[in-house]
Amino acid sequence: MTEQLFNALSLGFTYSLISLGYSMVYGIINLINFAHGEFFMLGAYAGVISLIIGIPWYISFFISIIVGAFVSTFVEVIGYRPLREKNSGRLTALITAISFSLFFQNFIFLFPGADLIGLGNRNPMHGAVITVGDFKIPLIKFFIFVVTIFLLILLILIVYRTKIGKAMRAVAFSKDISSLMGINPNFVISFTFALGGGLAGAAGFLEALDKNQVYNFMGVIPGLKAFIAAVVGGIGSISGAVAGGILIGFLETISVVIGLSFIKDVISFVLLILILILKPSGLFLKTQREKV
Amino acid sequence: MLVIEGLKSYYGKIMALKGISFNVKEGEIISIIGSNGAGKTTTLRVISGLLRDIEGNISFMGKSIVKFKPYEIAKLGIIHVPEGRGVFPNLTVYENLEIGGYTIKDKKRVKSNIEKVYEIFPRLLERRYQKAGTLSGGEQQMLAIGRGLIAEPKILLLDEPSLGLAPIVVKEIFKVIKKINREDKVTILLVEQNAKISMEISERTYVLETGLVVKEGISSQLINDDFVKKAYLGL
Ligand SMILES: Nc1ncnc2c1ncn2[C@@H]1O[C@H](COP(=O)(O)OP(=O)(O)O)[C@@H](O)[C@H]1O
Ligand SMILES: [Mg+2]
Repeated sequence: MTEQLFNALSLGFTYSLISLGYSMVYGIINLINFAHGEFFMLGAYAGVISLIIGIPWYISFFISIIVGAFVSTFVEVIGYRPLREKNSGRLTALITAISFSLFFQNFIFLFPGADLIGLGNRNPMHGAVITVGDFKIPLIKFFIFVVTIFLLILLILIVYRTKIGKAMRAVAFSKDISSLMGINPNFVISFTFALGGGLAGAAGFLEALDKNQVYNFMGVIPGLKAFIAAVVGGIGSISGAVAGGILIGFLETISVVIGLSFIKDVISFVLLILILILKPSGLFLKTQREKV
Repeated sequence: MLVIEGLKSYYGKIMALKGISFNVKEGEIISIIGSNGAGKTTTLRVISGLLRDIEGNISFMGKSIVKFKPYEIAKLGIIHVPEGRGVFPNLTVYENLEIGGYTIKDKKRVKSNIEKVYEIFPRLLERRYQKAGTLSGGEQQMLAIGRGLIAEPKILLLDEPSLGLAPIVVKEIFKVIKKINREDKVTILLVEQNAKISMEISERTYVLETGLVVKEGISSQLINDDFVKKAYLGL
């Protein structure tokens, strides 16, 4: 039971970390960034390559975060910002997102190559378990749990306690009015992409350690599920993104435990359809949400 | 201090300002009066850089600012308090005031400016931990003006501070506007439909009609002008 609990939580937390980026970006510019799953994939690759060339795990982890943040900001500056300034529609942004997705997935064929990369014994947590009472829990699951909690606290502190976090919430309400306060909305938007991308990169690193491998399409399904998690939780809301991720993690784990593992990947899509029909504003929103 | 020359502004093909000129000198309260749709809000949005499809020139302290971005203009000390208040409803009163001091690096100065605003509007102190969206209209207007003051403006652009407020609240707010101008030496450009109260507190007034300045002069004289009396004071 404890083992399954940690399975569900670590899976859910991975979705949550990705989901936050979708949600924060939507909160600030009403854009669903469908390239977001690739920041997770690229973060995972960056971490794995770092580990393989012998960089210590904690630095590799940091590199994953930086790469996720950097690529995310790059996509915003090169892709979305010019569209925003020309007032292009949502369809243009969607096509741009899909193009970036395809570009990154195919870029991996060039470097480091089409084959999936296994971590093998370069994985610092491979096979390690910790014992809690009578239960053995893989160290990585515990690690995902602890790291995610840490990152969430950090995120909350940034968004609610720092100047730039307050600026994020101000820009989420209105770019024009924020700019009257001397805030450069583009800077704040880029920062939001960096935060979201960094969290996705972190999730990628954790996933690579958990699965012990990376491949170029690894961002697609988790990306979609994390998007669903954001919608389920009420897109734009930080707590909603986390709750949505955890919910999907639990539903998937439960489906496996009760022997229905074939529905594991379908559940989130069914959930999405149900939410869109029954409560499009998201499950966890009471009244008006606070966007960021 | 602020000189506007031959300003035209377009919304697509529609010309909302048809070439207006006016100026604001340091220390003055200047009012621009005009009925709904005259172009008052447009004028302020052009000055603060929010509208870019313009012709003509705007200079502030001798320097043209037409190419500046809104956040750069705010940094120069031109602070625009938008129509309908525009407080951040999702932030607390205190956070709104903090955001007002975004351009000030020194945190202590922001804090002491917030204290000063609490002295001007004690109501904001009582409600400092409340989300701004839950304030009454009058309180939101106080917050919007207070937030503008945190940035230590050289000139404050006020867009219809009286809009939708009860007469007593309007009086209270205009008293404060006068006080900010006298005691804190903040120059004020006030845009209003409420012609009477604006002319009472300002030195000079410009009358705006469908994108053109149709009359200008010393407020105390204009208030007795037959045209103004008829068209704007309902006399
Ligand atoms: N976003 C907009 N798009 C098109 N026309 C606009 C827009 N905003 C204002 N206008 C037009 O510009 C004119 C001036 O509007 P505005 O500056 O808001 O007037 P005021 O503030 O004096 O009531 C009006 O005719 C209005 O319809
Ligand atoms: Mg107006």
